[in-house]
Amino acid sequence: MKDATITTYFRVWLALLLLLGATVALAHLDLGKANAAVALLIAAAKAALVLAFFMELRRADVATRSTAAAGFLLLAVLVALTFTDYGTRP
Amino acid sequence: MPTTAEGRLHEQYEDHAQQRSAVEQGMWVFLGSEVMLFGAAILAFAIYRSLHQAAFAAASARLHESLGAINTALLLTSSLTMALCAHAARSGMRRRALTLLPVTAAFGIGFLVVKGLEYSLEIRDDLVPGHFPFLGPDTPQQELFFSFYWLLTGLHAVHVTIGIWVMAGLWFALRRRGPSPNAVEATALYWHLVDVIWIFLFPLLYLTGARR
Repeated sequence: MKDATITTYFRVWLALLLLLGATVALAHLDLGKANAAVALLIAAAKAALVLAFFMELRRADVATRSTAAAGFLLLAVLVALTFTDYGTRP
Repeated sequence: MPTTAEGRLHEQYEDHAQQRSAVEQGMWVFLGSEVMLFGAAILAFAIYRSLHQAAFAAASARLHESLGAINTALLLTSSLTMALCAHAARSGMRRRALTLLPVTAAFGIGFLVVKGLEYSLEIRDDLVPGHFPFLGPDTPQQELFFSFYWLLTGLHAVHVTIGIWVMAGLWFALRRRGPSPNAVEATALYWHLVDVIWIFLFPLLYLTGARR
């Protein structure tokens, strides 16, 4: 796949700044337990934009994508197992 | 050796696409270790936050949220200029890449300056584990928050500093027409990951505060 164009990079940057504004604004609203979830979801969206466009994973080949996914996958396993432990302690 | 936009093709590769892919995969193996390094520390933070929610929220509220937000904007913008720099290097626009690299480094230095200002304010306000003078039922837990705060932001600042040094070395190499665009690409990948880590550190540390 072709590399992204310069316009795309600027659009992604604009989206990132809008998401930053959104996460700061939403942190000042009382959403109860949802506050943390919303903040993390927005962070994940920002990270996904950086990974896909700035880090070129959108056009990378399967081998590169798998290598990139490996680290995050292992981290997900670590997080899931750790919270399984702490979440089920009496 | 003809100089093309893609640089020199080493003999073990079939073509430039394969060479670029090898550079990216090698970088991602290293970045995977960085993900685990920061991931484990952030996970430990998340566990303690879930155990001491009120104390961590109260401690987080003592941070300067606006300075954290400014720093996030600085790093996001530095990622834009870094992506544009790598794009320029790939497209054979060496002069543009040579301009965008110092611009990116300048945003990184700006980040460190704001971070340093923030650290000095926090030291002034005694938000330092070890001599945390605040008295209250949850003082030890608040102190624990600041242990994580200094560990995570400090480790991140070290990474930003390394990134700036690498950019400086890359700039001199580029000026001598040394490296292929893949060297720029690898530096860009590192810089973007440091940005991704901050994208998670900012809400976790700054936005969990009880400001509402």
